[in-house]
Formats: sequence, C-alpha cells, structure tokens
Amino acid sequence: MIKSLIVFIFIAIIISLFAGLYFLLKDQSRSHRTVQSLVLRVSLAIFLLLIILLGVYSGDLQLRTAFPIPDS
Amino acid sequence: MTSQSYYVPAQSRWPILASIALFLMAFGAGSLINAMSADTGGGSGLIMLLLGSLCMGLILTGWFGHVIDESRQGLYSDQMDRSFRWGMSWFIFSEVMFFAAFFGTLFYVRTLAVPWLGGEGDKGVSNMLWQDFSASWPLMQTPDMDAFPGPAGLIDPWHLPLLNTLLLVTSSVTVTIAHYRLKQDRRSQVIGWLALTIALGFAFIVFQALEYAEAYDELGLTLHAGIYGATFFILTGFHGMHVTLGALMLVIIMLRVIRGHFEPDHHFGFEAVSWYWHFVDVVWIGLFLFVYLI
Repeated sequence: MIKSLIVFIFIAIIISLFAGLYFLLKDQSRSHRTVQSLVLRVSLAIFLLLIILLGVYSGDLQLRTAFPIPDS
Repeated sequence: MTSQSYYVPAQSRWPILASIALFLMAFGAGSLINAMSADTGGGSGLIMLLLGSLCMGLILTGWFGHVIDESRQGLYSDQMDRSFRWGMSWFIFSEVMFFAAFFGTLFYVRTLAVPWLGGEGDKGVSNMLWQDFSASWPLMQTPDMDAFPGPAGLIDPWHLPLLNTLLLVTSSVTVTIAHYRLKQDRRSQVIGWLALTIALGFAFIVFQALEYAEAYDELGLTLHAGIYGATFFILTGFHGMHVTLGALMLVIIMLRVIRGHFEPDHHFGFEAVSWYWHFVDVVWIGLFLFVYLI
C-alpha cells in the first residue's frame, strides 16, 4: 500500500516537473505556469519525504537495507 | 512563414575546443581508473583529467560569456529564442535517456541478472557457473569473492544520504522563491535566495565527497566491490557531476542578476537553469529511493 503511494507520488513529481518544462518551452517566460508547476513538484517531493519517514517509523515501509531509522 | 530574418552566428571555436577538453577528461579518467586498479598511482591520467577539467571550465565560461554578450547586444531574434528552447529540449531529452539507461541497469541487475545467477527465473540454469552463489540485493557476497570481493558494509541512508536529500529539496524551495521574486522584479531578494541555493548545492557536493571517502576507507564499498559498487558509483557519481554543473550554472545566473540581466517577463536563461536544478533534485530523489532505501 505505502509502496504504491510512494510510486504514485514519484510519478506525480515527474509529471509536474515535465509540465514545467513544457510551459518553459511554450510560454517564453511570460506566464507563471512554469514556476507554478515547479512549486507543485517541490511540494510533492516534501510530501513524499514525509510519507517515507512516516512509513519507516510506523513499520509499514520495509526497507531492503539493514539500517533502522535512528531513534530520536 | 514569416519574413523575419534568421540570425546566424559566426563560426565558433567553442565546439571543437570543448570536444578536445572532453576527450582529455574522458581519457584522463579512464587512465586514472586503470592506474588505480593496477595500483600504479594516478600519474599521467590524473594530470590529463585535471587539465581537461580546467580547460572545460574555461571553455564553458568563455562560451556562456559569448552567448550572453550576443544576447545583450540584441542580436537574437524570436527565431533564435525558439532555437534556444529546442536546444534545451534536446539537451534534456539526452539527459533523461542517460539517467534512464543507468536506472534501467540497476533494475535489470537487481530484478533479473542477479536472481538468474542465483538460480531463479527463466535463466536460473546459469547458477551452474557458481553453484554456491545465492542471490541477494545489495550484493554483499559476489559469485566470485576472490576476483570481486563484495562490500563489507553499506552507506547508512539515515545519515549523509538523508541529510543530502533535505539539502537538495530545500535548495529547490529556495530557487523557486528566487524565481518568484524575479517575476515580481525584486532583484535583491533574487540574489539572496540564489546565493542560499548555491550554498546548499555546494554543501551537497561536500557531503557526497565525505560519503565516498567513508565508502572507500571504512566500508570497502568501491568501484571494484562487485556490481553493487559499480552501479552505486556510476549513478551517484554522474548525479554528483550534474549537481556540480547545475551549481556552476546557478553561480553564472546569480552573477547575471547582479549585473542587471533578465526582465520579469523575459528570462529564459534563468528559468532554464532553475528547471534544471529541479530536474537534478528529482533524479536524486529517485536515487535516494532506489539506491539507498528500497
């Protein structure tokens, strides 16, 4: 479940990034669409990091590496 | 069709000079790695690599300066502007293909080739080559430990890699704020946010170098530590080169803002560099997920 969510958010990050590229090439710096796409992109990245940390703390996300998340 | 004239630049020496510098870098890096494998020291490979890097740095500075000067003289028409956008498109296409190949290698090795060697799947018969080998990932025990000893340890993702992830994502936030401030024509703030982005970018590179030192000196995780070491260094190493290039481009963009270049509705150079920085950040998130974590 959580791995599917991570993959879904990662794909959304890539789509918003390339939407930004499309507007960069299309709008000739005159619109706000590029920067808006990039705001969405970085917001999704922050959300993804939170989901990863939440998943590891709760134990729902099993990592292949042997490293436990450090105790805070 | 329009009757607008097409600006054709004069013949340029930069492409051939860049080709020579890149050849020196590639030849030097190859010779250096071979010399390191043979334990004969860096020697001429290191000198060639450093010389090529120095030449490439000078060429990029000169080439960017040339293009910026021509743009500031008003020599570029709308058609030329579209050419820059096409150039950017092809450049990004090549970058995507480049990283797709390396991520593809990682997936192929991890989900197909190593399990086959361990006796699983369609080509599991290949286990007869190394019958004691059992597949695992990360590959700590290689099929032939005498020829290719696996790593003794792995990078802990919750120390330097997590720190570097936070640094790069934060730098994407700061470059986006700089972008918004440019749109609002608040130039002093643009410079401040760009300076912070550059500092975060160079901090990433320093921490990545520390991670490599830890990998080599303490963990036995090297380019020779089997396929895991090779894929680890090729993915993170090429990404590190892209961060270095992106940080240099950000420095150039900041110097241009200081000199009064770019308008709120005309700043393709700025926007392209900002987007590239976001691209480099997304590649890192992919690395953090697939190389370090999952």
